[in-house]
Amino acid sequence: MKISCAGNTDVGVVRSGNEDSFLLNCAGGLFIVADGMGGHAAGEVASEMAVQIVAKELGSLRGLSDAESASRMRSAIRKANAAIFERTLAEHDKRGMGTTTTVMVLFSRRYLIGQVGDSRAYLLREGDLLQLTKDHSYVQEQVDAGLLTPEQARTHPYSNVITRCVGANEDVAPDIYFGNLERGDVVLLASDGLTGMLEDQQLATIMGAEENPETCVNKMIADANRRGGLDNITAIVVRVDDVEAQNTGEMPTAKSA
Amino acid sequence: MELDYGGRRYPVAVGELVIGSGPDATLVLEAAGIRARHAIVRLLAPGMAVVVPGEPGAEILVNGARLGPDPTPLMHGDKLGIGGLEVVVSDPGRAGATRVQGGPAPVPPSPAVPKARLVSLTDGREYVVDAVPFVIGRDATANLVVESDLVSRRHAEIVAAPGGYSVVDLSSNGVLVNGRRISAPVMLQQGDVIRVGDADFRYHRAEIEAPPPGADYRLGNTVVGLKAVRRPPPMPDVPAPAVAEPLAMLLVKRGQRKGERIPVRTPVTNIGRGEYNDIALPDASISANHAKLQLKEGIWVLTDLGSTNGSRVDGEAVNGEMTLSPGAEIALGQVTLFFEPRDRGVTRVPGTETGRQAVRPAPGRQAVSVRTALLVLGVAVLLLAGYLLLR
Repeated sequence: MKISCAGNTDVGVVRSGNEDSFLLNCAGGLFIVADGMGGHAAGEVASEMAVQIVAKELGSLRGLSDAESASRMRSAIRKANAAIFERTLAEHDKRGMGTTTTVMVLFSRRYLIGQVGDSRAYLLREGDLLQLTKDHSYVQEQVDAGLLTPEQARTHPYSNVITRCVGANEDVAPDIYFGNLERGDVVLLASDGLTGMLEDQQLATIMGAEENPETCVNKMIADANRRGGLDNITAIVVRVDDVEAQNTGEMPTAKSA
Repeated sequence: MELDYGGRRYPVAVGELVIGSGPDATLVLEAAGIRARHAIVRLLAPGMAVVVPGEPGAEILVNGARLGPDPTPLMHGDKLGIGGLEVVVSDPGRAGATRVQGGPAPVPPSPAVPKARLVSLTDGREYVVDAVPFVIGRDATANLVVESDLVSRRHAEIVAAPGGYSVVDLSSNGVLVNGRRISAPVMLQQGDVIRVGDADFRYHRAEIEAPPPGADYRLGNTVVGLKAVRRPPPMPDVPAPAVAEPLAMLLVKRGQRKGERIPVRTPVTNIGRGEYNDIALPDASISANHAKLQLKEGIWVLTDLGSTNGSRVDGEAVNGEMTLSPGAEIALGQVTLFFEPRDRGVTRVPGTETGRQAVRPAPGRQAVSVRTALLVLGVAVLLLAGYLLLR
């Protein structure tokens, strides 16, 4: 698969610190967005730990079956969870820290996504924007159960409650998604500082209009800030230039962004 | 420009104002380590002043940051730290709601047109774009001084443009907007980042576009899980989640929170020293994860979670699970709790708060005794009727 990609993070307009972390490894086809939480600088510790540990634990997925890759993804995220949870017990000022984690691995025309929390992955294909992941949030569960409409969910008093989080409990159950990619597909991984500030339609417009992933990322971040930048904003954009030619191997050693 | 110290105001006129302990100091500060001419504040133009150390080695802090030997621009609201004393810079022209304490009564701010601002991404300082052109550069007369060898004396200008402001590059090293070097004046958009040398400034338009509904709350403070037991979602117009009626109470009889009645709101409640517990008890004798209180099929049980100092119910050590009766005394380490379940109508006798005798029988049991009385009465009536018939 031949891809081009870019990623960036921005503190936003309101917050004083950036608790998001991300990893962009274009050559390795590995992308991670983590949105940390927990005061006193603990949030960025949690998100950074998640990114580092998941990247290290994933290792190479070369030659693994879907089931084996999924199991590796689960165990990588659970290891990050255990390490962060351990620190919340051991260090007084790290209590209550945790992070969302959305991990995408690309290999031979396919994507594998591991998901905990409310950071999201989207796929733009032929002008249609598809949300690949499902938020682990109270309102999402209520929407799924038919108790809330998506519109009510946006303004619901519990709209800030996530139901799964890396590092908040002894163990965590990541969701796993697989799918095929086609030429011209654009994938977005983003923290809620972006997806909460821009409607899906606005994301689709920018992803469709901006050919260059870097311009696309910067435009989305600038637009989120223009609307108030209420939270830290992180975006990774991956464009599939060709599925036959190759510039993406499978998981060389990851380096942090 | 004015300096405020100890409730007095010292206007900074054109020329210079000396702060120090010596005879030519206008603002006299006396404390250990303060030099005769410690700091000099120079007014360069109305509303624009710089501070410079008066003697080599004189330590001056501006908003907590130590100054070098070069002149440093002062902004409205800056705090100068000299020998442990604090002098506040104020500019009556800019003072809005943030008025220095002890100064004269604030003049109500005129309904001024909101101005665009530049916010430093390094130290968070705000610079109001209050003049056009607004010069950014190394020169001390610039509206925004950036001290760096990479910065030209007049590096960039912010100029008025239809509907806002544009940034113009005057430098030799270039101006970047959102990471891209500009070759022509660029219309600034809300949130754009302007890079001058190695300093980044975010441009804030006077007004911003409205964020999506609810975004403020949703993005304000992400939390994991719900604190209270889940209930049907409140109506959308309810501003905050309602708090569920507690299932039980724990009255602290001994320990740091003595006298406090702690509500138990969930059917599974973790107790321990760790703050992440449902009930956190800050006591050294309590383990981080000490015990779990559970309502199982209508019965409350306590489980010790392998705590160091153990758990006891009515003096008996808890191994595995132990059921709790109303009024049970739970000892966790050195902390003693009095258990008051609410879920089965157990009530407290007013005025008495301790001891088992304080717990009155449940209404259910009262009903039973009434039924017993009726039964006894019924039997008595039957016996009487039988006796009358047989007679």
